[in-house]
Amino acid sequence: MAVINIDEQIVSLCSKEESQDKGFDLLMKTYGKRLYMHIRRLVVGEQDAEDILQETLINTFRFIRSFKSDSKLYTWLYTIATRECLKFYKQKKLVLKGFDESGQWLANTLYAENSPNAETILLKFHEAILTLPEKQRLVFNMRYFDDLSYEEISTITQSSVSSLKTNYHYAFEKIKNQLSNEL
Amino acid sequence: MSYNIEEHEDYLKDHMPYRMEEGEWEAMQQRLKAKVLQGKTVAFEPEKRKPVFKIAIGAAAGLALLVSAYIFMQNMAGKETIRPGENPELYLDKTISGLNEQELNWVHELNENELPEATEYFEN
Repeated sequence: MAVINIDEQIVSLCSKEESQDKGFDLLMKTYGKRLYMHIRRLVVGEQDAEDILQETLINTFRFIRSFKSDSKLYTWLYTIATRECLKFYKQKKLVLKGFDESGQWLANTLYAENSPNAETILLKFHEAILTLPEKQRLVFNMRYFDDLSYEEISTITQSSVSSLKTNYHYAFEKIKNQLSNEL
Repeated sequence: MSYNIEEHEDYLKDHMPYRMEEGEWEAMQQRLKAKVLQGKTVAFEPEKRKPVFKIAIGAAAGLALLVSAYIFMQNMAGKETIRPGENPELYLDKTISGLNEQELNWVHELNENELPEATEYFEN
């Protein structure tokens, strides 16, 4: 019940110009970090992630009045953020001229931007995720890190639950095999 | 040696290769807030525009048609008409003086009803 109240508060505050400030603060306090990490896991680069979060928030405020409370606010936010990430991938593919290169590009960015104390296993694990096919990467991240249900992921990605389960299973096996080979 | 993801799930889920300090996160929030809420004028999805231009264009087209029809009829009747290029005021006078009561009332209504300019509407 408490979560629903917060969602209602956020929507109400963000929908009015005079309270957008408070709405923004509450939105960021409630969902900001989770949204940011979801984006960061997909696009890796710190500045890219911030830019995409900015676009996500702009679109959130633009369309907040059309948000229907029959779905969860977090799912809706996730959908906007995921679509912005997919736009980013599309732009990168145009520049890099091929999917395989964009996965490798993301992995390279991971090594360039990682924390100095990052452990090898973490780097290898995330590298394995980044070199997955796009759909598998999306499903894996949302299921593994964010604990979203397949139904929620289905709403976000517009894919069927059964194909999501298959994608997750293949992704998990690929990552396991890759780590086994590299460590 | 195989690495068991399931065994290390908690660790892998909770640790990221890129970390953000609290201060960095606060700073990012401030930047985002400034950009997203620029001058507190976030443009909400606009309402549909009212068809003001359509009414205005329709009225102007109707008047132009009337005037053209009048000139045509005058020409057919062999009466002299003033060409638009020669003296626009005289041309207008002649045109209006040739209109009947009903036509005059309609033109008068167009003048009286000020049509507001079409502007984009945003909710507050």
